[in-house]
Amino acid sequence: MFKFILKDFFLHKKYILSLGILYPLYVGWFGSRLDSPRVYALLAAFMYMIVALFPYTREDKLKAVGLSLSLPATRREIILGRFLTSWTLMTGLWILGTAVALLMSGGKLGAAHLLGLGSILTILAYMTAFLAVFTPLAIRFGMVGLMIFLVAMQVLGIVAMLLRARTQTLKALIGSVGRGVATAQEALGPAGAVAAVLIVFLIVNYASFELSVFLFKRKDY
Amino acid sequence: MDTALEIQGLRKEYKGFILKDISFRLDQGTIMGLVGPNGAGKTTIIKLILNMIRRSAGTIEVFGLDNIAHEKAVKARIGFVHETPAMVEDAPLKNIKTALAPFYRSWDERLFRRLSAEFGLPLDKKFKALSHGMKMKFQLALALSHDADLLVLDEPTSGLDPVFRRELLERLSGVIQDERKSVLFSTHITSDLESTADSITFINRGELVFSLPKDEVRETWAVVKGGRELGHGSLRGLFKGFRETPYGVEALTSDVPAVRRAIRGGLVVDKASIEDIMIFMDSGASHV
Repeated sequence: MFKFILKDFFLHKKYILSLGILYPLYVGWFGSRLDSPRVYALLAAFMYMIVALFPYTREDKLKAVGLSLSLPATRREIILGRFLTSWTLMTGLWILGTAVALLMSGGKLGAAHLLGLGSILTILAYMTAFLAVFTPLAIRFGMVGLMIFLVAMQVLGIVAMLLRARTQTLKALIGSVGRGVATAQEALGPAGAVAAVLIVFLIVNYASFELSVFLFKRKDY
Repeated sequence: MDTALEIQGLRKEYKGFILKDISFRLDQGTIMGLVGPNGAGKTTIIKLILNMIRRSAGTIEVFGLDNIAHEKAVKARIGFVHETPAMVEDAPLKNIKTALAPFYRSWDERLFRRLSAEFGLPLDKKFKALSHGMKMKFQLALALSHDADLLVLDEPTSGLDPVFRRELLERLSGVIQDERKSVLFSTHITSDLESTADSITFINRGELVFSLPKDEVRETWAVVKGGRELGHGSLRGLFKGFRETPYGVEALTSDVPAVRRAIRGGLVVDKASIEDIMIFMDSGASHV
């Protein structure tokens, strides 16, 4: 499987290296100005997800997916390779970004915030969610579809904000999810809760992987 | 003789185009020309062999293995050269090679270096900076360096200068000196096949016209020249296409004895070249 990571690295070397330096620097600098670990995690996960999906979206743009398909690998292995590359990139960038944020003078988020278990789980949750949603979307609709989805989500966000002023349903929904998680956390204990969260991440990744394979197998190139 | 590639009842449906029930067989140690006009379905067949598109029906076996059920093993034995290659265009050649080589157990780095030198490939250059001929050479070097047993080439000579075209064709002939190796070679440049191919598979408008050894094509297909009566009545069924000339009518047939029985005297029968077949088939509807 390492050969898939190697393939993506060598085919997109220049871009991965340049974005791999630029994004952690930006996230680290910007993150050091934030005082909310949750917002930092959201920003970082989103930025790193963009880089992680980059090999695929570039191949889609350059119509080079056929290159992977001509190699001795099944479509399932190709998608598994995509997930491995994505997680390798996201993890690497996260480590770099965190180091930059910690080294920035005058940062509002210290090591306790950035390296705490809660922060790590939060950023893992965002990365998992982004990757789980965006990978199948990128496979099915390509880069253009991804852009349309992002714009649609922004519009949806604006609509949600407008609706929030009129109804408390959304707020109540988010609140009830939060209370449910807190109750489960109490019931499981600290270690059990962490294990449960990690299992949920694995399940979400696996479901997204299977969906991606399903979509990839049905696409003509 | 063992079979390198066997296709049975292959079908692919697109909006506005259907590849209909294609069947043919490529023996090991031979070169097959997959011929047909532009849009006939040649690239569709090649993409189906590589499982780049899904088939609607039929089977494809490469060295006796189904190309989907044994996708990995099958692709390990195929070398692929495409007219419009699916490459990450802005990557340098050396990076593309480094990215792809680990996928092949039989990758021969020394052979790749030798071929790169022979072809004059600038390994530091980006793929998009290469000429069309150089792009073909690079793909061929990749295909040959992993010791592929089946070379699948989609319009490899299209847009090449005559010197490299000849070089490429000679190299293909050299490849099959090893009798385990075979070449499937799609083209609409029929002259490429005259000297190189052992057999011809002719596709037209998504349908298989014939798949025969080259010598048998020469013996079977003929251009009949005669008067306008060639296009009339019951004779029409004997011909695959017609062409009006200032001197009469020319028609393509695969059944010369039947034509001779139907028309006594006044006929000139010439062996049909592959180009003749393509031209007549393409204008098959232009009956007199």
